[in-house]
Amino acid sequence: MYKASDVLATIRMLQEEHLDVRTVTMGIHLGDCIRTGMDETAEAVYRKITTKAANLVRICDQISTRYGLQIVNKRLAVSPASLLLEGRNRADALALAQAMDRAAEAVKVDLIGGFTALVQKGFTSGKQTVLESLPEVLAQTSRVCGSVNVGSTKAGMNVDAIRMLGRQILRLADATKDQHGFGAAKLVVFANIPEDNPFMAGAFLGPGEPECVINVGVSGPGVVKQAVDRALEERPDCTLDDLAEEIKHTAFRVTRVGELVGREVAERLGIQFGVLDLSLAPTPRVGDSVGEIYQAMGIAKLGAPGTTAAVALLNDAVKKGGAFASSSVGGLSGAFIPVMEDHALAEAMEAGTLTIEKLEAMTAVCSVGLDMLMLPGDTKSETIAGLIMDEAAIGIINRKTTAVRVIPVPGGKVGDRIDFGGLFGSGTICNVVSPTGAETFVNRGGHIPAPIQSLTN
Amino acid sequence: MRMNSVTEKASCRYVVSVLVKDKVGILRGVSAALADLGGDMDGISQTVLDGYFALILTVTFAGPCSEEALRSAVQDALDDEKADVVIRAYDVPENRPPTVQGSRYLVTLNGKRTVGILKAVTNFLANQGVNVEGWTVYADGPRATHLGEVTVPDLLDIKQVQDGLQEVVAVFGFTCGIQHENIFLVTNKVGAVRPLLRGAQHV
Repeated sequence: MYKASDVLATIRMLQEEHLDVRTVTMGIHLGDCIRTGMDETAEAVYRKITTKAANLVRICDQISTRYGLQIVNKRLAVSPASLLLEGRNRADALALAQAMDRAAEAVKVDLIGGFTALVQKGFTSGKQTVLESLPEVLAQTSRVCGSVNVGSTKAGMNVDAIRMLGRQILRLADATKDQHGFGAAKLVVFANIPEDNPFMAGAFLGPGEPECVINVGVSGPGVVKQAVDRALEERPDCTLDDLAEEIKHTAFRVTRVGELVGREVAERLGIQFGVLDLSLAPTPRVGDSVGEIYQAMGIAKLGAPGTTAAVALLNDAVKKGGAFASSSVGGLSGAFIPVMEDHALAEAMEAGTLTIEKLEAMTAVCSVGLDMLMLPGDTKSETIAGLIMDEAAIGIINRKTTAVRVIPVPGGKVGDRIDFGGLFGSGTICNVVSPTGAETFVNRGGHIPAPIQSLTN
Repeated sequence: MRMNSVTEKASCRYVVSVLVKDKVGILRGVSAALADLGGDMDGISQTVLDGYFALILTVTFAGPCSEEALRSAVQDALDDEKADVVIRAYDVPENRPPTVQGSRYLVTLNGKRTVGILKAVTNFLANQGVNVEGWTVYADGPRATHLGEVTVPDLLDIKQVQDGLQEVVAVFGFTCGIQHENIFLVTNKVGAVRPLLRGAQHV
């Protein structure tokens, strides 16, 4: 016997509050695809992906119908490309990426992550090839996403890699200048990269992961926002701990939906269920925004003092509710603040109440980092490298994941408005308060040692 | 609600239904009457709808008990001439297969109250072989919300059922949903998800 109020609450979440499963991401190990020649390797990669993922979209669509629940994205994450590119050159890297791209298209998924290298402690030839080939690979493929891990709490920070990435991000943006540098939106630079992240552009299948696995990312900023609104409507004077409690309970329900879908997809495909990523991932739609949650909580101007505390409250409450709801939480699991993909954040940036510096502070307590930010076209590589170093430092010292996904818009000036369309959203080009002045520090290069926090044994 | 019973194999079992204006103590009266006859009530479903009390129960007796004696005891306990009491000997075989082999879904309908919506919907469901096991209507002013618990045969394409139902209710200006019950279980109850998936088919 069901209580009508419970049933109607679930239906309201699904139909009016934009609750959906943001992504079902299949991880596929490609280590056994290495052959003597790159043509054979690329062919083996194509065959393996198209075999393993042949039924992914169909099964997701069936489950979506069964539950009346949208599964927005079906995606793939593969082993780091650097493993398949040891001893190879940039042409080989492009051939591999094109095979991944074709395979993704064949199984009807929109993105495939894993053009990845983990360089926190240094380079191999394969990792070097990945970093060198990023501009042409991400510019000449449509579905392939790249990620590079440049630091970890255990290893410290590879500043040489970061300097190189500062230059490569500019080249990548220039290689896609006809799309306002959109290629850079497909590359994320991480510290403490999770091996099981289902969200793009940073998804890949880590070395500790199984042969084939399903990881799921839920969403639900709209559901959380409505829950906060209802709580305030019922009790306008409710305190922040009341709001935290409300968010926690809502996160529980949101997470359980993802757990159900992830486990059922894995069961039907006969493969392992991996993790559920609790992250609140916004979209540009009104009513599906993380920024709106902060506003509902009482931050009228995003970026005002108190905003970082609001992020911390939300992030913690989501984790507490989600951790109880799922037996297997992983990935990034927190609140995202991707500026272009969240209309409230984008508007605050445009109004000037929210700055890159404030966003950086918020990343110390949210799940990721500086995400989907557009910079002027004349931004120096050292500026981008400095941003990455700052974010990596926050992650390394706080034992958390941080990341940078910035898009230097070729020819773009501060205040120009750019629209990438769809889930990537739109926004205004912004800049840091002091774009220059740290070149000497950045260009010293080398390696920042692992912090004292790494000595945990 | 079906309860475990120590008298499962007794020789005498009845189904009893009662419809009467609601007042305090009806269930007390019926249960006392049955207990005094030595009856074990092993399944009960009871509700009150808009001032009327409705009850269906199964009762098992260790020894013989006539239908008339049972009816008389219940009728006396109700102390209401207008009370309707129906007694039937229980004759559903043990281990019977379910009426429909399938999965449980919840049907929700929402719209302005109108005559004929339930007739049209249940006609559609019956024609599809969908068994209705529970149906509740909540009226709120001019609007009505229907909540149905149904079993959809495994062989049916749920997408076609959803589309067909959509067409039926659209004529009445209603919106509708038909969703597997697991989505409601996971969002409203605390418990492991994995047991809900037993039987999920591999491709």
